[in-house]
Amino acid sequence: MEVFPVNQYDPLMPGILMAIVAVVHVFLAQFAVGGGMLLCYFQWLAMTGRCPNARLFVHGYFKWLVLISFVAGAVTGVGIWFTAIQVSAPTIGEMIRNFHWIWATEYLFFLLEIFAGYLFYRYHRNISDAACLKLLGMYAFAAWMSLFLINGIISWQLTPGGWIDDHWIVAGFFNPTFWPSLFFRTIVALTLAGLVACIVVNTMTKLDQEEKRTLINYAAHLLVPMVLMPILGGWFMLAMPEDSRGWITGGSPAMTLFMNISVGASLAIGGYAFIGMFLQKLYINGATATLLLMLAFGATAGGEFVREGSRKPYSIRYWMYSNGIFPDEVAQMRKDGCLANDPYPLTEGTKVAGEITTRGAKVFRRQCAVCHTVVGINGVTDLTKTWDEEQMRMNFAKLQHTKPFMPPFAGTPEELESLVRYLKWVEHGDDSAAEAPLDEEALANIQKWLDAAGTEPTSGLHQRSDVVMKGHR
Amino acid sequence: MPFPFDLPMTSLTYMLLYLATFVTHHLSMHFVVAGCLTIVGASIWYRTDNESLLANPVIRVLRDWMPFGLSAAITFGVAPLLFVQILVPHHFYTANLLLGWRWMVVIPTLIAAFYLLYVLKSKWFERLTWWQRALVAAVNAGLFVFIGFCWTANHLVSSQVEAWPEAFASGVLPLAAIQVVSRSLVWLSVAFVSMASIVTAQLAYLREGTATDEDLPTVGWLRWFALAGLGVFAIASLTAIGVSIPGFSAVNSGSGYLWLGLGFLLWAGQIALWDSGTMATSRSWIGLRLGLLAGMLFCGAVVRELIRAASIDFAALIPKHEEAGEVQGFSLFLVTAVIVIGLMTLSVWWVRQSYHAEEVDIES
Repeated sequence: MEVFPVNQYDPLMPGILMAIVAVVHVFLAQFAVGGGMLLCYFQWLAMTGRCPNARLFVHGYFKWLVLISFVAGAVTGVGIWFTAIQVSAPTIGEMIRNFHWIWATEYLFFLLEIFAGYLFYRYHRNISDAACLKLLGMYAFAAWMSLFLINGIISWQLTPGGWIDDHWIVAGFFNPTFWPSLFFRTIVALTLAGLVACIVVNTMTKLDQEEKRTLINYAAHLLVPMVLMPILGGWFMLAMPEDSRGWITGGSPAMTLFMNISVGASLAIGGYAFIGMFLQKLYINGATATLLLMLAFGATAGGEFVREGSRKPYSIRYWMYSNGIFPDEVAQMRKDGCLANDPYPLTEGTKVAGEITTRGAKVFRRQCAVCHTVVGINGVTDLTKTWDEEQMRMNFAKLQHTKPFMPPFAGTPEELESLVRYLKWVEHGDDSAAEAPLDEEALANIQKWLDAAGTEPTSGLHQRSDVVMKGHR
Repeated sequence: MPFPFDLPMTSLTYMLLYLATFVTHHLSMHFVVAGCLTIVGASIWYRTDNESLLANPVIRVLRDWMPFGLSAAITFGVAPLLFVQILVPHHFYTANLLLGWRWMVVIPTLIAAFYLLYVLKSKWFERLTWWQRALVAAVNAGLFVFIGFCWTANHLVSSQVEAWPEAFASGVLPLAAIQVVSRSLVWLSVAFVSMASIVTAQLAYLREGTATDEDLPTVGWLRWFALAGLGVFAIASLTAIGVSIPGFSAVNSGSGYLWLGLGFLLWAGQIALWDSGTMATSRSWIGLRLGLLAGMLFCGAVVRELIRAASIDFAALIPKHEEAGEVQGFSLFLVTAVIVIGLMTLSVWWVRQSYHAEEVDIES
């Protein structure tokens, strides 16, 4: 059992940091993928004479793609690695260990994407139209292949599929949500590229409004596939585990809210794009285009929150809990304690009342701090303030029953009692109550509740419990 | 067999991939870091002669190609970042966590530094006064030095397992100033050698706007950068090894002498090639010089890993490498590598086939 130091960023929870970097990167990366396809389309329009200003547009758009996608997109891509380590080193460690060759293969396509992109950027004024189209095609192909490969790893986190049984990489990669997720993301990529195109067209001062409208109407062609989103979304939801689907359809208010944001924003963009831009061929000014792009950012953010949240109580479904503990470790930690192998003291300046609250703070750090703060966003003291100490003991001991999207408590009765004392001390500041000797009867009750709850989660193990609980890793 | 060839096949595969990609990352990163510092110096040197500054072929090439250089550095940096997570996962992650906020700051720092390179390339930069130009380039270079410090710190922290709990509690990293300074000087000094080698190659072979036939003979002064860089590199490398107890004992071995000796030969070869003014500005020696540089960086990287392996319980990691080696996908990677190299070659061929010197006027 490897134990890592856990950084707490109160009042922000680490997941927020991850979300910020991830949402920005996903948004930029999908723009890069769609941008390649859009440029191929416009280059073809230019070459066939269908759109007189298409070449000028390609020239202008690619500069934006380089400045935004090649710079911020690439850096935030690397940044996701750093952030993921800060949030959950065990999770990223498992992802790398199990899929490093897929990641290395994806890297090759990323290399090709950058290479073809820079060749075009550098030489597009000095080479033939046909060569430009080929380079753009190469760029678009490489960018989409990156999406294809990363999508397999990301969707594996939610639905590992047959991989969980035999670790066959093909089964893990082409998992149940792989295809709906891939098609959905491809359409999102086209949508983002189309919306950015509308903004870029509005920056082209040499064109009159009619010329701009023509370009915008061609860009709107890339938004038409959005009509397939409800079907793909439905397919994705059907492929999700039943309990995950439950979280986002009312089971978890936060997840449901993010889901609604994503769906609502997508509907608004899709409706405007299809009816206004495609059917009625309306002109769209820069402000409206920017607003639609901001809605798209909201939809992306909502979607990514849902993707992250719907895996609960796992970070890798059936394989690792969201706090970085493996399911088969829980029983052992119930005996030995979750702090047995933790060499890290509290950081200097952490407020505690004494020995018991020190242990409680360490238990919080080990088991709760990935998803919660003490008193900030998603703060545990706030979430539990209506519980008295006895309720808190029982609810923590039966955590996976109290809150099915939570992993089971992985520690001894003494550790659970210390956690309760610590949280109550933070709330009330009563030193003597917090550091009073442990009550044997209370510990016995906690043990009874822990035994009753068992070590298995209530969520997500319907047919996998034999594999996970045998410690098959 | 010398390290790393004494490692089991799986560990050796990951190690060689790590070392090879590490060198490519360093070459492109050096180009940018030393490039920024060169622009700082040139802005001061030519403070009363703006035209000469902008016309200088080295400055012209640097301004034009540094954004691409950084893009390459980031792209080439992804591969060693992947393989180090297989080779020393627990150490790498723990060091990242102990560096905490510094790592999180690296991301916006790198984005800011990237955009500043575009500023250096812009017409706006040309209109600035000399001290403003020097300031912008210095800020840019400073951001890269900070990122370099984070990597140096990460490497040093990752190798000091016994110091982790105390470092976590106190927030004070277990870094001795002499270690950080000597290691920073190792890569900062060799950065000028890499930059000089790459820029001379660019001036010799670039023929689309940036360079002319007359440029290469005029940049003999780059040899002083390279020679000084090689000198400081040698001193800083020996200091970095000397101040580290595991470092000294690691290189005081057959493997250590072999790689140090080979590195010394490659280092001496570069000295010889840069020492002559004629050879420094001749196209004939550029390929060989770049080869010697890459070889020397490879030797340096091996010594670095040799010291790391001696500092931690590396033997305990070998079973983890074997476990990772059982994961499927290696053949997919190899086949894709061949295909991607083919596609890159095809892309270059397309450009060469249809290239014409006169630019198309897209605006009309």
